[in-house]
Amino acid sequence: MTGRAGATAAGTPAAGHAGGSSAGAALVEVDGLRKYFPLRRSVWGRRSGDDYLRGVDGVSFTIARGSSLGIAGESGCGKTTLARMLLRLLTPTEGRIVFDGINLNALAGPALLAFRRRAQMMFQNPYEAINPRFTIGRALGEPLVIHGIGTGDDRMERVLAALDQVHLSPAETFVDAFPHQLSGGQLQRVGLARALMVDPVFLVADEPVSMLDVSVRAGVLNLMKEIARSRHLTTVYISHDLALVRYVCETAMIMYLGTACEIGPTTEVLTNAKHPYTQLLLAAAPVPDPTYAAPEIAATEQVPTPIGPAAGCAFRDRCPHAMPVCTTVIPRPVAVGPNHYAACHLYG
Amino acid sequence: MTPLLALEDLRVEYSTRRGVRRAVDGVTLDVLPGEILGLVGESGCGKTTLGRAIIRVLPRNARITGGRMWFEGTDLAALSEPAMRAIRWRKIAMVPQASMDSLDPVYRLGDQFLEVLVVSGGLGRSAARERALDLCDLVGLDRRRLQSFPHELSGGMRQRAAIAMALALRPPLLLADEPVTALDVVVQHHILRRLRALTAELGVSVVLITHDISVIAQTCARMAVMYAGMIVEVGSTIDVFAAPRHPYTMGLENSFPNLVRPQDTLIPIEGSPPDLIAPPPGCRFAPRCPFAVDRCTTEVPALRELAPGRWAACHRANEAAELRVQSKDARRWQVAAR
Repeated sequence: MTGRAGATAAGTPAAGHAGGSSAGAALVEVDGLRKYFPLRRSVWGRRSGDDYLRGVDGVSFTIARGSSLGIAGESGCGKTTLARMLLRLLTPTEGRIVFDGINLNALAGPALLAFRRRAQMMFQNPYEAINPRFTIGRALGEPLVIHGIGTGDDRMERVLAALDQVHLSPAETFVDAFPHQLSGGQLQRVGLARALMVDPVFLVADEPVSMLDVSVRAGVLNLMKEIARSRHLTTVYISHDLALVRYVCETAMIMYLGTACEIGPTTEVLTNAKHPYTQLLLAAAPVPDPTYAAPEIAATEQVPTPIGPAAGCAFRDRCPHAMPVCTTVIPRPVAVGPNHYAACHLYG
Repeated sequence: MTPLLALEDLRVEYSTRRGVRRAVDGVTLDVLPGEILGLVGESGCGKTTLGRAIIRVLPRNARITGGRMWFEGTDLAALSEPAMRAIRWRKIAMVPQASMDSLDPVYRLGDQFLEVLVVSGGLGRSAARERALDLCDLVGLDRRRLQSFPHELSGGMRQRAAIAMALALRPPLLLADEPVTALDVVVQHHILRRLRALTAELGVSVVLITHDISVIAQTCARMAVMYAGMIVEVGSTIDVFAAPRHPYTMGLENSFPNLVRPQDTLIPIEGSPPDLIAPPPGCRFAPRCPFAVDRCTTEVPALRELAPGRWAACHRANEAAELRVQSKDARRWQVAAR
């Protein structure tokens, strides 16, 4: 793969309150991560060097043990691609992810299976993520079978306990139900229970409530928070909704066109935003308060295409503060506060 | 003010294999000239069915079974199909759900505009071309985009095109069903602004159907809340947010995260909406309501006017201020679900 961007993001902004800079506290360390998707230009599959889409383009951060990281950005910003790499459902084009001291790129065979037991995912649409022909009991038992955990009766005990933990009670009535008999909120609780069956330490949730009705979202979010706390889970939460990130996550990372614009403690990032893109997202976010006067937004809504080699800042075309340097030099993350980094030339 | 559209006890039923589903069950609602009325409710509450009933484009298994829809002196519910055809597009237009995906992929945008303007609007080709350019300016779409095929446009541009197309024949009433739902916040922000400006420029009335109370808060002066086929609350948006009179509205506000003034805890509404084939007797929200009393399980509460322009369908609406305080206690809602 050609087209490696000129400047790599140096420095590794730390996520999580628990002193993220000390390597021992971090469960996940991400360094210079890139994922380029090749594009085919002709029907014959001929590729030239520039035919790729920069899904994730040089992202570095760490996730402290037991913390929750929210990754937010508009559609196409690379947040789902990043999440999939964190779970090694996709392999990076470049860069590496170290999970609890293990380089994910090097994993194979039994070591990979062991990793899959420790890292789990919760999906956006529970109606697609859970086999409609499986009973809830079977859907929850499946991870135990795959990982060879327990036997018959013991497995059923675990399934019932898991249902209980996500407040689907009486658990016995849910075991024999099929997905279509459950509401969206109930089924997403099953999705959470399934991710927890193998007792993971790391949970990645990709827009876990965006398909749910507003009145049931809060229940699923509260449950996720409660379980993450009681099990000391390290969680990554992908969302386009800053208000949800603010509610659930200690640390927030804002992505734009494959790059991480800003990362830091959630309250800092969302009340003291430094990157112009974060400021734009905040200004545009709808607020459920008719007395709130939304600010004027100057930026265009047109997102440039992430195809071909990168040059300068990804946000420069929409940025009200763009300077000549922004078209030529890729901004590196700069400390703008305690554990708070912004990749913007405004800050040096 | 004389309403532009007055719905009186409107009923729409779906015949399904399991029985008759009363999706819209006695809706009375006014749409005033030049206003954006927000209609909010969760999936399955009948808000989309209500919108489609007004313009009479219901699915085949659905039927208007009662009520009236007064629009400019005629009852739309009683109109013949040919007479209704003269009203669609010209008098009442709709931006359907996922309308950005409803453009024809094999025609350039301009040709699709011309078809509406020439065939439905009866304009000559050059007048139609002029109007198409005006429409682009109106919704903030680059005029050159008329040359484009839908796949060449972003979601936001396609949504603008769909709104422009609905406005092509200058209808006095526009029904917009989740017009910004699949769009990113920046695009959403611009389109809602445009929609507000349009009502001022053209005097068009808009019914904005959405599940998102933040969209209503930022766009609509008046709002109606729908639950299980019925309107449960109506009022000025400011007042409905500041002093909700129906426990369902209170629940919606408690569960919706606020970025600017974040809550410590979001309180869900436990349980699920009722099955509209066999709805519970009494208030349909009673099984999930923390404040339900005996009367609520036997007698359907009527939509009553509590103050000028403020309506709610709750037996305990007079105690709303006190219930509002209690509704901030998460434990009350948990008890309701058991």
